[in-house]
Amino acid sequence: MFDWKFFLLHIFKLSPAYGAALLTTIGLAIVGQVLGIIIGGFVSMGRLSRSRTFRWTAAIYTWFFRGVPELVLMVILFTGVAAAGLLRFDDFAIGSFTVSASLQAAIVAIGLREGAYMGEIIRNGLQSVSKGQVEAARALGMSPMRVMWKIIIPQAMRVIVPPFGNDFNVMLKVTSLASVIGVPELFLTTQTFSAQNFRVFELFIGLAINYLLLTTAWSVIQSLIEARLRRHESIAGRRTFLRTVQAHLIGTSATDTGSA
Amino acid sequence: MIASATPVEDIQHMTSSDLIVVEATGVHKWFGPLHVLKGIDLSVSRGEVVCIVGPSGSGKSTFLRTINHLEPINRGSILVNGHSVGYASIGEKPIPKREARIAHSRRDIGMVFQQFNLFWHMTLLDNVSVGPQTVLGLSKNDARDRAAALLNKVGLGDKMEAYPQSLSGGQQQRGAIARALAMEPKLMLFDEPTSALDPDMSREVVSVVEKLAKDGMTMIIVSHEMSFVRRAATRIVMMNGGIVTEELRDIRAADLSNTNGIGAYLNATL
Ligand SMILES: Nc1ncnc2c1ncn2[C@@H]1O[C@H](COP(=O)(O)OP(=O)(O)OP(=O)(O)O)[C@@H](O)[C@H]1O
Ligand SMILES: [Mg+2]
Repeated sequence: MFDWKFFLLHIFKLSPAYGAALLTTIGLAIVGQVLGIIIGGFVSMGRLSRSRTFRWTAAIYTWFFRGVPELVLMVILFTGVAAAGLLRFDDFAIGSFTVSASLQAAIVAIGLREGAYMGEIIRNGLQSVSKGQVEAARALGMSPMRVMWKIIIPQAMRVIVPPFGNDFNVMLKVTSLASVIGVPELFLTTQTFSAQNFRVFELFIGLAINYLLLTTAWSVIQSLIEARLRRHESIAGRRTFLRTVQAHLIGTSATDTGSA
Repeated sequence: MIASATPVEDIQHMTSSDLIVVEATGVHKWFGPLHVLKGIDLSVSRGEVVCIVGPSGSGKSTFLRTINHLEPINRGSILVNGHSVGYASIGEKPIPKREARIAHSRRDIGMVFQQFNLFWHMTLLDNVSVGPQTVLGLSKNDARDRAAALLNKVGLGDKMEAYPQSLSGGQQQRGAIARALAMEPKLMLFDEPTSALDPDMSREVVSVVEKLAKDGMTMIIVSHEMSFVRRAATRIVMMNGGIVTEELRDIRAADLSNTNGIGAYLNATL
């Protein structure tokens, strides 16, 4: 029997442990993603570099971290690397919050993985900027740095954000793998709960809803970012907030765009 | 029409070397094995409007792009207002400048492209003010004031907040001219500014260029558009196979309907 009372209480009345797990999942995803963007920036520069060595290094990095499962990476980083005496993650505290060794390993693993994917996404974006736009900027007397910040990056963003958004969506779910090395994120915490009270079905349906809420919230944020990046296309006037989100989530029908 | 301090005709009769804006000497350019420019000599004085014509592939665009060093050259030299844009020293072994120094030297040279190349992620006002603000260091307000004045001058006063893709080709090209003028250049380069436009839009652009010519702006225009030649040019230069094959000075007095040389070429192609 599905225990509705238990289920609703579990979902709506967050226990402290579950709330902490939620924050851990979100934090792991965001910090891992930021790390991935930074690494990805370098990887994309390497991929586009004039130097053969940089191009090869970046290509091998991408090949490796896109090819090895995240789960395997985490285990290697958390146990293997320490066992081999190369690097041991130690707990450290930021204020009252302790960043456990396993969480650090998970962040690094996710960051490395993300770096490979973001590298490809950013490279694609940079390559999408047309030569004419760059030449116009150079002809104005902009230095290479200015051309980068004023023209290339803003224009590349339009190409980068949609796949980046999808990637972060995947990332929110990939965080569940950190349960394997003992990071008390949503999945592991739910598992612990279910071992205590055996309400496996209720707890995991609740978990599914939790992930759905996270990915849906991100979808809404993503659609707003994309709408902002497409301001220049808004010839027909601004869309309302709801229209923007709706168009992003379920697409725009032919009648909406007014095409025959 | 805005009266210029010195009428164009007077300037042309002066010959002092500080009135030379562009001095190209023996310019050679290879793309790999392809020898595109084979020793171009061209000197352009202040206030001159030089139209470059010639068959496709003769190197017109390439030459124009070497003037602001969008293309490096392999031999020879190009001085703009007495300085090389791309090289710290010229001669047997030219030493290239650092990119930031090259960028600095480009401020005085405006360029207008066939495909307009307005920055599509910026409003028209931002397109025109971004140069003065980021490159010349004007305050945001000053840059915007300057941009607004120029947009009014090219007839786009009501389009300042529009994004390029909502504008017609003619409007975009006038916007691109305003963007170049916002740097207060001493020289303007145009690469086929009207060839992507239909005749009505071309006329809008030609009339902007004509005004600039009357204001005494020094310009080099690669174009087969006869109206530039008729209404703005002070000299026509014909290129073929990477060299200047013919020049027609003082074209206001010249008979363009003659049946040989540039006249014949223009009559045949236009
Ligand atoms: N970046 C490049 N790499 C290799 N070859 C080039 C490059 N740019 C131009 N060329 C070649 O150089 C030659 C001259 O080109 P250019 O564009 O200067 O001619 P053009 O006189 O402007 O012709 P058009 O009237 O068609 O514009 C052509 O053969 C062209 O294919
Ligand atoms: Mg050309």
